[in-house]
Amino acid sequence: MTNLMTQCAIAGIGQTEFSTNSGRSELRVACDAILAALADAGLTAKDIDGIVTYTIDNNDEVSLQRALGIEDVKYSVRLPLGGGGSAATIHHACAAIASGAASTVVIWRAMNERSEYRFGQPKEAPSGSRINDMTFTIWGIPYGLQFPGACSALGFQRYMHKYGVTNEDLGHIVVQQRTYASTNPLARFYGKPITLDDHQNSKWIAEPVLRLFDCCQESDGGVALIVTSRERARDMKGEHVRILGSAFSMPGNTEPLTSYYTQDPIIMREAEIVAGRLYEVAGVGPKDIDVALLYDAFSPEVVRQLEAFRFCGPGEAIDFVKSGAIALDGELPLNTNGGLIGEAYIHGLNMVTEGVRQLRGQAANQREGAELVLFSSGNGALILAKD
Amino acid sequence: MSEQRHSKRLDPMSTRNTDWFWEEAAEGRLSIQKCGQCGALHHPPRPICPECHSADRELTPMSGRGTIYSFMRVSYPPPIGFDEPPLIALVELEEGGIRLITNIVDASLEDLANDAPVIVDFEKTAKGRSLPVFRLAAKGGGA
Repeated sequence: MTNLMTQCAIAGIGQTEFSTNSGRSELRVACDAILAALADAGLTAKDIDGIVTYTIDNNDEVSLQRALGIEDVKYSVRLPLGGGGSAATIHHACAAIASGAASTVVIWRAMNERSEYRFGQPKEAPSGSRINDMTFTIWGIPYGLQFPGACSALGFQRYMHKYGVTNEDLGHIVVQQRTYASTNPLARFYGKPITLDDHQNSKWIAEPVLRLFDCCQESDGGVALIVTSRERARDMKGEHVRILGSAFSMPGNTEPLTSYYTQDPIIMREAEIVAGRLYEVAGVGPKDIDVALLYDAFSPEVVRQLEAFRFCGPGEAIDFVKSGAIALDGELPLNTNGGLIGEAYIHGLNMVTEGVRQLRGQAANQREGAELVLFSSGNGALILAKD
Repeated sequence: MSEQRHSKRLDPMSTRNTDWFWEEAAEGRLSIQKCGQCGALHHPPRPICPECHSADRELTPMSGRGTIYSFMRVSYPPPIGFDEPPLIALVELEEGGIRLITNIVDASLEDLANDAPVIVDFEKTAKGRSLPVFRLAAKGGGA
């Protein structure tokens, strides 16, 4: 029997500009991104019957529906785990479509995380309604562990100790991503490549792990995707790409960036499980992937995902990167839009738009003949394919 | 137990599941949740035991000895509540299986090493709550 979860497609992508100040409300940013995605697919708001976003998105479903004129929402869900949940939005949209709960789902992430608030800055207390027993809010804040970059660095220091990795080693990832961003007109760092020296001269965030240039760019902006069945996508205006497979996992005792209490915090357990499920459902393996888009809120997360998705062995990610593998002519071009570090931090959805552009042959840094693209946000991942 | 040092630190967030941890610290104890039914140790605290679902929670004092699992000095953006960039560590307690986010006090980054032995001490926040912190055992912190 056909797995209907593998019979879905991204039929449209949309985004706003990525900036330090959008100059408009987050709701307007969301509307602009969604309207662009609808136009790409050749649809109107009346065609949408499912809406999906992250728990951390500030836009309310009712306000969004009212603004866009969506007539009836049959399916609505928010995904947890911060940016870790970004690929999960697509997984759940596919589940809704496969089950018949919805036929055309819009996914969005839209915010003014630079101009209205600073997502990555130290916090005295968690904001909004998310007052749960989260690791870093309860256990980290009095000790100075107050922002996501420090959370990533603390666990990764043990990896560096185990495998003899330095911050300069991480710099090789960043330099390549900034090279990609420098030729991507959509990127915040368009026209601004860096050298390894620049990376090493950027200020310490958390010594000996993380420097400023290892961190993603808080940005104002929005991204939206239209997900539907392959069958319906074929009749739509835009060039759709197939979602060949998707997977999600929340292993017990793990948590994005602060998995400090598992048996082995060095590995990204959730991504290892997701990788196994994803390759099985998609019927492909790591060697088949043409472009990888790995959630790079901070450069150490790239290392952890390269290994979790078996693009290289445990402890081998830095050697893999230094071999030239992640360049455009390498065996695995990585984060070809510049990633969240080089393009903008739209919590992973801007990696999906890059994946679609690669498969449409429209990427700024185009991998010739790209047919399979993998996107991971740790707790979720998907493989996009030409259809 | 020595006189607790005062600092500019922020208070930990108060929740019904975790307040006891800081109250124990105020008494000079580093205590971890132990299940009264099956004896399993758990950190961070939770309202019930994930093994047997018992709500019978025993606050069990630890020896206060452990080793540094990982460490770093966070300098930018400056964490709130510190005059100098804090040394933040994950410390693994000698009782096994328990790691704590904490600070290593009275040390510099150059003094720290993975697996170095440490011993608990206590420090007060600006508002007077107590936090377990650690110092290097080799620097005369042990008693």
